[in-house]
Amino acid sequence: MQVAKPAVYMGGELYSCEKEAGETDLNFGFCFPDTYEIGMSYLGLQIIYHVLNEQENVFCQRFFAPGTDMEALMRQNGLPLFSVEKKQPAAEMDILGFTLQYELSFTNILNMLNLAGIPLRSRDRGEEYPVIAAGGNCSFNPEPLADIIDFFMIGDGEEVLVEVAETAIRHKKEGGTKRGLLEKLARIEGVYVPAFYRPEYGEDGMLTGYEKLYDGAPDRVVKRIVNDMDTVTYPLKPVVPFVDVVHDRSVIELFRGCTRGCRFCQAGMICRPVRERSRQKVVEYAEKQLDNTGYDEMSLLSLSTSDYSEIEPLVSDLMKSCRKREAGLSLPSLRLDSFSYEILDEIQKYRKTGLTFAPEAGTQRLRDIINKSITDEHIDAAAEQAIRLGYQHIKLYFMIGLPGETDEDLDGIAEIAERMNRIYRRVCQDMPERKGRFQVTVSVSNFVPKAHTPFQWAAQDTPEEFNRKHYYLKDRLKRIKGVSYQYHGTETSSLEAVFARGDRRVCDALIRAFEMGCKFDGWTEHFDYGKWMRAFEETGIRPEFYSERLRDTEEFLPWDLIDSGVTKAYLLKEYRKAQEEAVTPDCREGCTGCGIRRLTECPDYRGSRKEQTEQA
Amino acid sequence: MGRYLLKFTKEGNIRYISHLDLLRVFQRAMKRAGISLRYSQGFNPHAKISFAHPLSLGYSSTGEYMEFETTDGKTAEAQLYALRECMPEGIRLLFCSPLPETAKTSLAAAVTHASYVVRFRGERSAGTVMEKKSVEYIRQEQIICRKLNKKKKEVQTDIRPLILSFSSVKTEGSDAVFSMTLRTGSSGNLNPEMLIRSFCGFCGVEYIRHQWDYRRTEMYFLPQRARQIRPLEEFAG
Repeated sequence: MQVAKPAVYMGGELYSCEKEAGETDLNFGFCFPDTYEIGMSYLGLQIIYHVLNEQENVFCQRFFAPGTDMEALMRQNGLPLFSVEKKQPAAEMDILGFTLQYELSFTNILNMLNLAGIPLRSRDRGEEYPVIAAGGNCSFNPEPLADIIDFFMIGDGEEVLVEVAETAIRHKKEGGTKRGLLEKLARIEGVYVPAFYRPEYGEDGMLTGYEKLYDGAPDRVVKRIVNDMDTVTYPLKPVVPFVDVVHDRSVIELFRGCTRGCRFCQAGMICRPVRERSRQKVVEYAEKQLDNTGYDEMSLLSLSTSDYSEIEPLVSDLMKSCRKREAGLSLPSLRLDSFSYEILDEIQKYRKTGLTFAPEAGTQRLRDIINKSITDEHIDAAAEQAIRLGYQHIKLYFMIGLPGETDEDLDGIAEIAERMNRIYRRVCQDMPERKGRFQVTVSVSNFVPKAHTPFQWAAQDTPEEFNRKHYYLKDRLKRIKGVSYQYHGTETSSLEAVFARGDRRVCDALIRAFEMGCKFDGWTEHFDYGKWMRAFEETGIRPEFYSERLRDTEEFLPWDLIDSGVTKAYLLKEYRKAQEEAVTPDCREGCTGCGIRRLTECPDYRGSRKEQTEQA
Repeated sequence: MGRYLLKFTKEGNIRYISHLDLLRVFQRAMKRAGISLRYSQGFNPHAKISFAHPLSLGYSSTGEYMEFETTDGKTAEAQLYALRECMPEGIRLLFCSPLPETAKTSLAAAVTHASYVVRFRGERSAGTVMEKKSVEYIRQEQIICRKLNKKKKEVQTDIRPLILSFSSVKTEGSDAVFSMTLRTGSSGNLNPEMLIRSFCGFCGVEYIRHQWDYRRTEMYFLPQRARQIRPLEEFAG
């Protein structure tokens, strides 16, 4: 074979869409800026693919970043980026839509455009090239890609994609320029066309606002919200890959949004409000998807599975459905309470390998600052239960570099790890039959402040400070028996921070870095920090201006143009409360006034949802 | 309860999926077809389904075999009919027959030989040289190849005893085509690519992988008290 895993380029998978390329009104290329194995594990791809191909007059094909071996071969033979379905060149699409999941995949977008023979900057692309679109979580700060992407779709994609497709088809039939199409698209709610806004900078180089260049464009772009998870379309026949991908299983999205309000969490802020899919629908979809695909594992997706209002009856229903089909049930992001242990015990009868908890911070004080509502007692009780159930390996997730962190908080991480060992010894005294090696893994990531969160003004630690903390922790943890320490590279985290809160100026550095050969930056084996530093230097960008600078709360932020539903006033209030080490309760206990109710209704948590359905 | 033997093909693009991928394709297809596989007992239950011999990535085949056990006792025809609807393009199900549950050996343990048809798509002149030298090549008493042993150390090995037959085939097309039957399985195994590499070396032709198409055409076993190998189809009796 000339390339590894040739099957990822071949298509023909079960439920891959087999329309004829010339026979629909619109050719849409869904582009995932990473490899097939990662892209095919992403539920958003399956949803968008399904939503678009459900439209009779639209043909959506998939494009992925080829592996480096395949890319070399393609460039050598002059083969352009091609679709999985029909091997059609990307440049022949009407619209190419990229999903933005991770800042470090931005160079892959440039590489894919380049492989497709498409100029990188919007202004260099004439009428003969496809319109380049993007959506996904990173588009809530679209500015670092504003010179490259023609239009962004902010928020839930199901409805806006159909409106965009319809508009594009009408425009194509009527005939008109790309500019004309963008003008029409800008009028659709949730669509942001960066060319219609010119950033303005003060004499000190600070962004002061945007000048609107087209009257039809909105002053602020409001994100799209799908209100009813039961009526919105969902892929019951997802594409089933031939090759082993990262998550190779049936998936049902349980709900969107989260009520907990962790102050570091971007998804928890931008995906509001909580919208649940009804238990009946979840079970129906799960059964249909399992029957249609033949998968032997089923999983639920949400930001916090345990917060589903009817989690207990749902899990018992699903366990029945799965048992009947000889499929396993996997429940990620479960909170640690007695119920979750009952079901864990039930569904993991045989393999009790490892269990993961995410205390996020080492002390109660810091957990209060980040509003992570978990206490030492919770952690200890959960660990004890897990150990009693037979788990021999506990993995703990933490973040370092959080605002207000001191070395005492790092000591706290080591103390939690140490306590796990003590709890294990105590359990062993009660259960003399218990033996074997007990392991604790402490996994630490570097805090990256994100747009639209209460920490959007915060400074990120310098790489030196991150490294010092890593060594400090390493030193503390190596003295504890059975504890292993894993941590993320600081350089990728610094770079991620630049693009998470960058303005339109960082685009030049992105393009320069790509020209120097940067791609797959999220992959350690490809990441080249030296090249990135040179790219910043040559384009006159100071990365620390974006990553390490404490912002004034009065400052105009690049993403102030985007309305995520949560108001800046609320974020500021939460930021202040963090400085006072004050917590904000879960908003199911009472509305905390985040602002999302300006756009839509929130479920009424006062009367539980269960009662509501009974009344109905 | 039922135990079955299934013969199938792997042609076209699907030849680029690996052995493990193919196993998953069958398992999922069976679930969709409503065929309930039997599972082993124990800590890591696995479905009772296995192939006679793995096919290298990129090879096509018109003679693949697998066996599977179900919890139902449907006829082999019913299983074949249900499963056919659920297979991807390139996998044709040729034949399904019940295997006596008393059959002690698995297909994988029974298989002794496999035959291949290998097509050379390189330059015609090189093809002609190889066609001419094929008889001389197989008449050697010993054919020494270098290969890596399990400790990644290079060792020399004689592959001649593993070759039952090897010859050039006359075809209407312009490609040179070779046919061979080789020892296959746990008691002696030769990969056709190793033979072709050695043959290329013998002919003074550079071996370039993508100039060669490999197709497995049949697999064989040696029935009890028999002298000649028989196609695995007959394993069911």
